[in-house]
Amino acid sequence: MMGQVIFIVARESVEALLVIGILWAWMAHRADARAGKTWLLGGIVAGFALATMLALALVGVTTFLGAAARSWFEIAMLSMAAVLIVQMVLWMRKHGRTLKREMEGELDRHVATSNWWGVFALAMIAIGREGSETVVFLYGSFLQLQSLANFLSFFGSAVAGLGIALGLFWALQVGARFVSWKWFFRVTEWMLLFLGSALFLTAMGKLLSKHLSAFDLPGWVYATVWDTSGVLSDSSMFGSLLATLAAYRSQPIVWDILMLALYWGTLAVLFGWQKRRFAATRIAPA
Amino acid sequence: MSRPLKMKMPKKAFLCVVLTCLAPLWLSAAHAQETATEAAGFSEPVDPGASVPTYKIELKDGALLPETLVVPAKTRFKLHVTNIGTKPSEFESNQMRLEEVLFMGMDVTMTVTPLDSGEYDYFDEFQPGVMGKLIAKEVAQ
Repeated sequence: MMGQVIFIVARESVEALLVIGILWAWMAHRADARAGKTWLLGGIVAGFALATMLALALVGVTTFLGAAARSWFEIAMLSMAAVLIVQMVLWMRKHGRTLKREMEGELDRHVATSNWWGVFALAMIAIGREGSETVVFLYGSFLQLQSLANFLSFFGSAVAGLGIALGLFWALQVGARFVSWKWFFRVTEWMLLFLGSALFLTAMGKLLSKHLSAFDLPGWVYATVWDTSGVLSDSSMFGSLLATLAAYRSQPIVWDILMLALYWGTLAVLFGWQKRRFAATRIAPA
Repeated sequence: MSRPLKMKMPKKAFLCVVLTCLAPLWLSAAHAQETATEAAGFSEPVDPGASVPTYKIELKDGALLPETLVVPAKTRFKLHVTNIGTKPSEFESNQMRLEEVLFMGMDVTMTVTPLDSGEYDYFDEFQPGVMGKLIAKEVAQ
């Protein structure tokens, strides 16, 4: 049971820590790092509050929204996180290049404040969603403890699980320091975008099976496109990690593919638009 | 004295033969009363005859009851999942797009979108180890 506690805590925290670790490392390279980190920490604290609230509803202590409303809330949270990630990456691309030279004009500062809200919300959602599951798991396991030895090993494993997760966080910070910034920036940017695609696909999957299931959509929407479960099943440990972090599916249906195409298509349009604007502003002063 | 005895023996044997011949007929007649789904190798829904059938799954401290379900392909159906164990569980299936945290004693009904024929995994993410298999197959016409 204790190995299981370590495993669950570490795995559930991976997603949130990836987001927070990347944002944290990125902020260290900014002129206004202190302000950003305050916003991020605020988001983390709010995330724990949200996790506890959601967990209480899952356990049945409180009736926080009905079942249907809660699933809409979850879909909204997941989609919101995906949108915030994309917005964050666009922002980073814009400001990451100029690094410390930006933040000069009043307008820039105003734009920055609204983006700090994005950092806050992203951290809160990342912790709130996965955190609520961890809280339910730990609380339920805690109720089963009988002896002092049980309690000790339980807390030991919970701390060990958190330790593994913090190790990942630390690795990201070290990576940011020792690897060339440009390379780190590129890699983490793609990690965030893939995570965004995974969150969006999960949200759309819930939308299809929970809210659109009453309607008879055309049969081809549900048709399996390919089946790679024999090669790498998304139920396996590595496969499910890849599903959480990069939207991997071993038996995707047409709906999944359409939603991923929507995500990456929108992203391509936004990036193209940003590139054109970037080029335009560079030419303008000359 | 020997004659009636001789008569009795074949009579008994005849009765035995008749009974053993009739038994399967009688048993199969009883079987015919059961739904055709069982005969075709499909799992029995909890509400036979419903337009959207519901299948029951129970989670018990890492065990999945049952570990295999056979459902008709390309048909919407429901899963009624109950955690009857002493620990919290998370019913999950990436392949069927399902994810639900269940505290002890809680249950949930989920609708599964029509599946192409094939095999789909389901498991308890909080207590991994046992992998359940849901088999969707075409109903023979």
